[in-house]
Amino acid sequence: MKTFQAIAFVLLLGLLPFLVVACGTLDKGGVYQGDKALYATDATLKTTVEGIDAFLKWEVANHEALKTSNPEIPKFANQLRDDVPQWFQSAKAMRAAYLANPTPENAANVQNIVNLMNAALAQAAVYLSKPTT
Amino acid sequence: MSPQLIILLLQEISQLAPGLILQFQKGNVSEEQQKALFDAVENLSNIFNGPEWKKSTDV
Repeated sequence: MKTFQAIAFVLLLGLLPFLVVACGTLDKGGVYQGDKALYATDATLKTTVEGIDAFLKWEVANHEALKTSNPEIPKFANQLRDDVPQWFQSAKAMRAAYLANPTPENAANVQNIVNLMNAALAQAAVYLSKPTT
Repeated sequence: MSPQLIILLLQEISQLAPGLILQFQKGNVSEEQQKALFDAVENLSNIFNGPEWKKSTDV
C-alpha cells in the first residue's frame, strides 16, 4: 500500500507542472515565448531535482539507521549523487539545444532525460515510504 | 504515508501554489513567473553543492 501511495505521490508531482499550464496560457512576452511544453518540462526538472535533494537530505538524517535496516537505500543515494548531477548537465545541454533549435527531436531529447530523472525520483519515493528502523 | 512524504508533498505544493492560484484567477502565467522558473532552472546546479550530495564512504 505504501508503495502504491509513493508511486501515486510521484505521479502527482510529475503531473502538477502540467496541471499548472494545462488550462492556462503563458504571457507571450515571457522568456518561454508561449512554449508551454518547455515551461512544463522546466517545472518538472526543477521539481524532480528538488525532490531528489529532499530524499538525499532524508537519507543523510537517517543514514546510520538505514545502513542496518535498509542498506540498499544508502547505496541508491550514493548512486543518485553520482548520476543526477550528470543527468542534469545533460538535460541543460539538451535544453539549450532545444532553445536554439526547437525541433520535435530536440524536445524529445530533453523530455527523455527528464523522464529518466523522474524514474529516479519515483524509486526514491518508494524508499522514502519504508520505515527507517 | 510517511511524514517525510507529506513534508515533501507540502513543499512541492507550496512552491507551485502561486502558479496554480494565478491560473484560476487570471488564466495565464505572467512574465515574472516564467522568468523565475527559467532562472531557477539555470541556477539549479547550485543545489549539488549541498552537503547531502557528498557521497558517503561507509556503504
